[in-house]
Amino acid sequence: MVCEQMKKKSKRKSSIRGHLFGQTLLVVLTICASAIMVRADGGVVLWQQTSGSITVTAFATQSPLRIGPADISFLIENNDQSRPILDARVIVALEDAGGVTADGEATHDQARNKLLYCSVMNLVKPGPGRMKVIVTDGSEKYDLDHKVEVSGRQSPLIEHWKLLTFPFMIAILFVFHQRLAWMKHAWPPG
Amino acid sequence: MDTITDAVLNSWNLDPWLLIPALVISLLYARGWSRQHKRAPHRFGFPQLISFSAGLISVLLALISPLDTFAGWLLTVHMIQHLLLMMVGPALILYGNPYLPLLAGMPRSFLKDGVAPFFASVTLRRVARFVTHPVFCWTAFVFTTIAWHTPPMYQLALNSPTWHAVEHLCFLTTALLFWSPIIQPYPLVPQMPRWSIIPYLFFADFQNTALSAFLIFYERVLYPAYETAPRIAGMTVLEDQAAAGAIMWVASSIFFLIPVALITIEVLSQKKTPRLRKRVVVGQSQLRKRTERQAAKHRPRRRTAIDLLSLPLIGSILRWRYFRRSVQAVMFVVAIIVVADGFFGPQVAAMNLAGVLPWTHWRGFSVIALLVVGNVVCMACPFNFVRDLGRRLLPASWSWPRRLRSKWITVSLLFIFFWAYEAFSLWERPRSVAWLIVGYFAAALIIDGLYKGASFCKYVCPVGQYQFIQSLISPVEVGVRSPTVCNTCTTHDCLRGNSQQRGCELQLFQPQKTSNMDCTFCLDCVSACPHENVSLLATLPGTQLVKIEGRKRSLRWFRRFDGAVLIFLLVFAGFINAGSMSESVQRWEQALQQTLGRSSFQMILFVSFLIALVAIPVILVAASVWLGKLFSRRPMSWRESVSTFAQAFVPLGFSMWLAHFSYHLVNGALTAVPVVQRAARSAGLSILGKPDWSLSASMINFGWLPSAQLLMLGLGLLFTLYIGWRLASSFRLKFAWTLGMVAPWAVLALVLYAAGVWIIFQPMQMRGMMMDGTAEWCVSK
Repeated sequence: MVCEQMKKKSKRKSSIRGHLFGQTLLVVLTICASAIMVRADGGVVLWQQTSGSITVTAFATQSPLRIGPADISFLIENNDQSRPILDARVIVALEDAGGVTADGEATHDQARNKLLYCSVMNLVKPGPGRMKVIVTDGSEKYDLDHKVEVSGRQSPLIEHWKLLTFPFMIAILFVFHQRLAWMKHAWPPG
Repeated sequence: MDTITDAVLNSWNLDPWLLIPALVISLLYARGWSRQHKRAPHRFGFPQLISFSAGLISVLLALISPLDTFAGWLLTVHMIQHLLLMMVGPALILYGNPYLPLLAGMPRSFLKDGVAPFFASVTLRRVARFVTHPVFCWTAFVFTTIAWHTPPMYQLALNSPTWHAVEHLCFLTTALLFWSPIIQPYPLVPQMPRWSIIPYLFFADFQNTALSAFLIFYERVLYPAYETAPRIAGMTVLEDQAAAGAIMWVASSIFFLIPVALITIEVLSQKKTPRLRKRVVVGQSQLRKRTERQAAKHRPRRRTAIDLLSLPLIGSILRWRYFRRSVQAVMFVVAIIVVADGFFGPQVAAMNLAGVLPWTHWRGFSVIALLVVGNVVCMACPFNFVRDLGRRLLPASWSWPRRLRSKWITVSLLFIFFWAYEAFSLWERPRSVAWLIVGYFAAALIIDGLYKGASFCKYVCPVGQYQFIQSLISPVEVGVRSPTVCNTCTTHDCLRGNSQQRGCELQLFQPQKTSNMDCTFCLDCVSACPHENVSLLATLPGTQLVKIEGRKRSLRWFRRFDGAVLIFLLVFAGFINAGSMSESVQRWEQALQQTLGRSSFQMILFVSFLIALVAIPVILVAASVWLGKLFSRRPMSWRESVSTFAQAFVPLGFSMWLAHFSYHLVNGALTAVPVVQRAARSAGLSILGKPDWSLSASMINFGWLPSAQLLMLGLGLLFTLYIGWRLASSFRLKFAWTLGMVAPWAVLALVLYAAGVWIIFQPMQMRGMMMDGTAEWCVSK
């Protein structure tokens, strides 16, 4: 009887533990999933320009820009009050000689740094071009225009070097581990 | 709250690469601490638990909070981040005596087989002793601090997220080393007298003061990146630099000088007995460990498999008598609709169910199901209906010819299929697909109508063989709950059947069954077993392959040559099938077709497939066998060698199939919508609406997909190398000879891996999608 009660108790305990573990895992996975969706953290300053009463600083995760998805973010500052403007509307377009190559709206939602407006753009053509930004702050509208250079795609081997090297690192560590295990047992372990 | 402050406080970087390791570490510590707390509450008490948790939170705060987000804009913020990483976090973590709880928190088998060899190594212990020596710790800490504060290094970290992460890693590791001799977490043995920590800390503070003073009093901007950064705090760059120096000076000095005071008091009030007491304690703990080790030997091993049939909801669904029939019925109806649409629908692949569902969706879902569950495709196979029909219409009394009881028929059929798929562009001919399915139905009906058992599944069906081989990776297996129950069983109903339920048609005897090979997940054995001892058991993916490295009689399937050839065919075909869709191969095929005409092209392609799927694999495998024999100095027949090492390649082959099919599934998932809408309208059902063909023409740019594919391939390679190593180890040779035996196979695996990486980086033809000429290639890669 006592034994059964103890069994029940331990079963309940383990189910509570499992439940807690599941809950924690769910929370972490939700946080991770939301983190994956949120992009951009400013990065390197691409250019800075003043127009009327505002100063716009453009950031990108890499400079110069490269072909492929690029996080481009903007800080809009009010020159008179020396503080960031957070309720503006920011439209960004990339142009080359052939016309607009990429455009979109930059928002806080896509940015990790919530002082920035971010837009994830897919750059498809290399070469010189212009980045046009339209900032609407209340009734005021500002047009900014700056030269940008888009470089060719980075070698995929360099881009994915971490994923390409991890099997080799683990394999080397494993051989080293096995060598040590062999020495310990003087015979294949397991 | 001010909107700007609100925005700043919401700027978190919830990076899963930081959160998941932190969660794993905290779980390990909590598990280990609860065990250690029972044994030695004075060493692993609640202060230690709180301290460790606070330390981990400090490190996480430094890396994921707005501190990290704004570190590139303000040097002051960056300095606070570094203080958390170098002073607060490491000291608190070490006060939690983390070593033993972290080790005790690991699974016992991982601790024994994975970690113990490192601890047992004399060389590594010497290295650890050297690395934890106060002189090394101090030098590493000071050198790292100075080096990363020099302008070129600091600029490098500010401009590159990867170098920034390296900088933080350097700070954290050297800080953990630096605080080790000061805090002396149990069971670290002090290597220098306690009083020597006083000058240790003083000199560290001296270096810190010099660096801080330089930051405060230097009249130019030290790090140019801050000149271009927005000045959100109302400070100039120089003011920010000076403030950062002041924080570094004051806060760090406090962190250095408080331990100085505490250690001075400790040294002055020290008695000489503790050292002796410590030795006695160590002796007792060693004795206790030895007793525990002996007790553990006699403890029965816990089963790690999860019994799916005893799970509350899933178990009842799976045990439902009509479950399998219902799923098969659904698949049968789908197959009939696909066939009908293939014959009578538009002959454009992207507009026809037969051009989209089998190639994009069914293949993709089946390979994912193999990884997540098991051989679901055979379980839900629609051909079972016609097989049963064949048994009723025809005698079904002949025995399958003894000579044909092998995998050679399927090897030939699979080769023909892979060639025909490319030569006749099956994916873009819905009517051919419909004929293929009808042919399959006819073959199943005739073979199982004439022969006993599941001869079609076991010896003929190419899809089944593909599933059998790939399901060796799967986590779910049909197996026995308790081997002791089987030992007492005399009726063997799982194999022979009984009056109410037939036994295994594929002649698999449950107590001897070791893997999913030849298992169709029909669950007949589950229903037949009178002891309810057969179930669906779930473990970690790949566990079956780890089991087969043994040399038991029951594992003889894995020593069969035809099985090895089947495995190699599927492995190489995985790479060739994916490679044929790459831009360069497709252009070569198109040029060849234009030059030679269609019939000659098919012959040339046949020869090419002979070279790629037969000649090249034979040469590579033969070279691996010969070199393996040469390096291992073990006489072994080439058949034995091939049959042994073939199974190691299953994970690599599977990873390529997974990377390939999941790519098509992810990119072409929505193509099914307009095709189903079109098919419904053709059948007179307009409730699904008008087909939106833009869904078949647009490709969503999934930037993460190549990374995910590389990860799959990398894991496949690692698992292949691991199985190869275990197989070579089973010969019990010297270490160097074992390495020599497995090395040529490892090189072969690396060659395949390199081919897979090349394929992943190639623009791919989007089959089953409506792409125009220019957009046909997935340029987003």
